Amino acid sequence: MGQQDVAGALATHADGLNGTAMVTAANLPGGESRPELAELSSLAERVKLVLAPVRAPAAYRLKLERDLREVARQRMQGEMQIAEPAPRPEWLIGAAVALVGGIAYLLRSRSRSEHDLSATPQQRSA
Amino acid sequence: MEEQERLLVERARTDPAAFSTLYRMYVDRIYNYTYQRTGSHADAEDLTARTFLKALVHLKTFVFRGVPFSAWLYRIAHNAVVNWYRDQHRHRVVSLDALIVSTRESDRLEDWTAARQDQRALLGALRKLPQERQELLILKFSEGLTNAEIGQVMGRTEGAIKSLYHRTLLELREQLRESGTE
Repeated sequence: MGQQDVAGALATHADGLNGTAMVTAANLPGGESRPELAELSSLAERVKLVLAPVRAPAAYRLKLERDLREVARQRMQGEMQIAEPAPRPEWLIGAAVALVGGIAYLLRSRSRSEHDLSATPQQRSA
Repeated sequence: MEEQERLLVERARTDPAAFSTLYRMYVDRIYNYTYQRTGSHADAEDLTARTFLKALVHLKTFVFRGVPFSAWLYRIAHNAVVNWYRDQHRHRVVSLDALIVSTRESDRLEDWTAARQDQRALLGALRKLPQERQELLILKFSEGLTNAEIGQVMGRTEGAIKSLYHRTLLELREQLRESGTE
């Protein structure tokens, strides 16, 4: 029996321990590797006992679920705010800014020319 | 089953209730995994919370490409445990053996009301194995995963997992012999 066969037999035995295969240490393949296989499979059975699964405490499970739900809710709310479409396209904002600037410029130049017209010649030359 | 899970993950991206369903499906498995890796209920609680929080935050990046959601979760948990070990080593200056007996395994030994000497010795030997080999034994025997599933979590082929399992048992037997308990 080669190393690969031994590895395969041990893997099948482990599946048997997990209930996913019908192989136990008693029906492992024979041959010169049998004592080695028996020893390692017995060790595997002890490991399985030592690593017996545990469950999360019920109170902890519930609390963590509540906390995660809250985080998920907040994240989704935040994303919705970010994902809301912009009220106006960028070009419209640019155009509005330009328009306001233009109006301001016109008003300013108009008030300046009115000021120039209403001033006396002395004031104008000063 | 896989299709159902895929749909659930899709829904969980926008629906907190669907994420809760995924959480309930896997919380015990992730808790057990982190407990077996650390030997402490308090640390398992912390690492389980970190794992699911990270999964929630990064759910949008998860895609089904031959790796099931559970394998993705285990990988997150694995990374959380690796960081935990790194922090343990950074913050504590005690011998590894002392760490094993006095802190990490204290909960577990309490769990074993009639803890037998050979179980303690076996656990001690397990803890001396490289992280990757400990992980393999935990995924196989405590989580009950198949070699193919373990391969998906650890990023290896099924054949490589079988071979690693064989080498792990040999090393474990060697550890026990060296400690004089075999």
